[in-house]
Amino acid sequence: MDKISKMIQKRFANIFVAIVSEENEYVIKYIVVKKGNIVSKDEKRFSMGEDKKLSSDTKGFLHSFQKDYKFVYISYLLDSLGQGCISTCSNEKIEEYKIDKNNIFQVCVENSWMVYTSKTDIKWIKSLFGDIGLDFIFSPYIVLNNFINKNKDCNKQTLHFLYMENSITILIFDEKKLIFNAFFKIPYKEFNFDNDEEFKPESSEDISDGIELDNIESEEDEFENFVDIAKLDDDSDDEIDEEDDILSSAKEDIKSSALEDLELYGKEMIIFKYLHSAIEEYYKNDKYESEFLEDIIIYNDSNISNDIITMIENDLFLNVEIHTVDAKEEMINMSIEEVDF
Amino acid sequence: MKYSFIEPGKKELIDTTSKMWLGFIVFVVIFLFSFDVLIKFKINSLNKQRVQNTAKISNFKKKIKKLQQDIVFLNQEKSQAEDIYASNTILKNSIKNLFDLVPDKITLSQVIMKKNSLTLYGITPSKDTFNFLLGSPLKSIFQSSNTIFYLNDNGWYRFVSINKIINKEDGL
Repeated sequence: MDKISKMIQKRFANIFVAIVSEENEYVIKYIVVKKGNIVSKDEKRFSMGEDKKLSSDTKGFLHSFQKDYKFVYISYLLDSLGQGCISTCSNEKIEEYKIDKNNIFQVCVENSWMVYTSKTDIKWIKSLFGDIGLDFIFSPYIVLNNFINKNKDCNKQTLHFLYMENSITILIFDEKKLIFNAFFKIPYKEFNFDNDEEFKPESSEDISDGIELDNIESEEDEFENFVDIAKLDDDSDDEIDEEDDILSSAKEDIKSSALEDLELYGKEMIIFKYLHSAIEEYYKNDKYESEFLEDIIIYNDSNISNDIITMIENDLFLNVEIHTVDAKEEMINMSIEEVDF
Repeated sequence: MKYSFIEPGKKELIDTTSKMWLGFIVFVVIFLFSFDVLIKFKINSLNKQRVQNTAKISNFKKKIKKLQQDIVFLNQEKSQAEDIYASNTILKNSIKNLFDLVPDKITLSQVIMKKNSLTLYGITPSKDTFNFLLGSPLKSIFQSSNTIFYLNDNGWYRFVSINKIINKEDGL
C-alpha cells in the first residue's frame, strides 16, 4: 500500500521547500520534482516580521504552494542555540551528559553521535509556521555532516566549518568519532553600527570612536553569550571557572588582535572571534580529546571574505580548504531522501 | 536515513472535503445501485407473477368457457325439466280431472293417456249412465270421442272409449 502511494506520489509534482532565516529575511528555496525530474527551481526572499514571525507575504507564498501542489514538503534550518551534539546514540548514555531526555528531540547520525534540541525550540518554530506546517526541521550540524561526508575522508582531526549568512557551525571529527561541536548565531544588531556609519557620513570622529568602543563592549556581551552556549553544551558546572579564565584570556587575545587587524570589521570580526574561541575551547578544555589541528575545511554557503581566510591562515596557523556549498539545496536533498522519493 | 527532528505531516492526494464528497458520491452510487438491483429483482418477481397470473387467467378463461357451456347445457336441461314438470303438472291435473270426471257408478279398468288421445277401458252399469255421466264431458273436451260397448254376463257393459284431440295443424 505504501509503495503504491509512493508510486502515485511520484507521478505528481512534489515540491520541496527549504527555509533558512537570515538577518531579517526568510530565504525560501524550492524545487519541483515530477517523475524524478526537476521541473522548476527558484529562490525567493521575504522580509521577516517581529519576533521572526512570518509576514503575510511569506505565508501567502507558502500557502500558494499548498494550494497548487498536493505534495509540499517544507523544511526549516534550526537556528536555535539550544541544539547540541553528544558522541553517543544510546538513550541510556544521554543521562551522563545531564540532558533531560524527555525534553529533547534527537537525531542519531551514523549510529555514532547524536544531535539534540529542546522540545521548546521545536514547538516555537512550529508555532511560527502555524497552519502552514513544517515537515522537516534540520540541524545545521547534520547539514554540515552531509557536506563532510561528500568530501574526502580526513584521517586526522580536522575542523569543519559551515559558514552561513547568519550562523556558523563547527564540527571536529577524529575519523568518524565526534570530538567537538559548536554553533553560533551571528548577532546582527551588534554590527549594525557599520551601516549607521555609512548612512551618517557627517558624524564626527569622536562619536564614531565612541560607537566603536561600545561595539567592543557589546562584543564582550556576545562573548558571554558564547559562554552560555558552552554551558549548554557542557552542562558541567565545575568547569565553568576554568572556562571563564580561558575565555577571558581568549577575549583579551581577540580584543588585541581585533584592534590590531583593522581590516576585519563587524560581522567578520565576530565570526573570526567565534572561531577563535571555539578553537581555544577545544584545545584548553580537557573534556575534548584534542589533537593539534592543522586543517580547516570551510563550507561556504554565503560570501566569506578573503580577509577572514587570510586571518585564519595567519593567526590560527591553519591550512584552509574552501568548498562552496548550498545548504538550502542540501536541505532539499535531505527532504527528498527522508521522503524516500 | 533520518535527518529531521520531526516527522513530515501526512500528505494527501485528496483533501478532506473532496474525500467527504467522494464518500458521499460512492454512498449514493452504492445506494442507487442497490436500489436498482432491488427494483430489478422486484420487476423480475413481478414478471414471474405476471406470467403465472396470465397462465391462471387463461386457465380461468377456459374454465369460464366450460362453465358457460355447462350453463347453456344446464339451462336447456332446466327448460326441459320445466317443460317436463309443466307437462307433468298438466298431466297430473288432467288425470285428477279425469278421475274427478268419472262417476262412482262407472269403474275404470285401464287408462291409456297419450299426447293427443285418451283411451279408457272400464265397466258401466248401462250405456246411458256412461253416455250421460262420462260421455258428454269427454265429448266437450275431445274433438272426436267414440265409445264401444260390450255386454257382460251380469248385464253390465264393458266399454272402450277412444277420445282424440285433433290439432288443426295435424289435420292440415
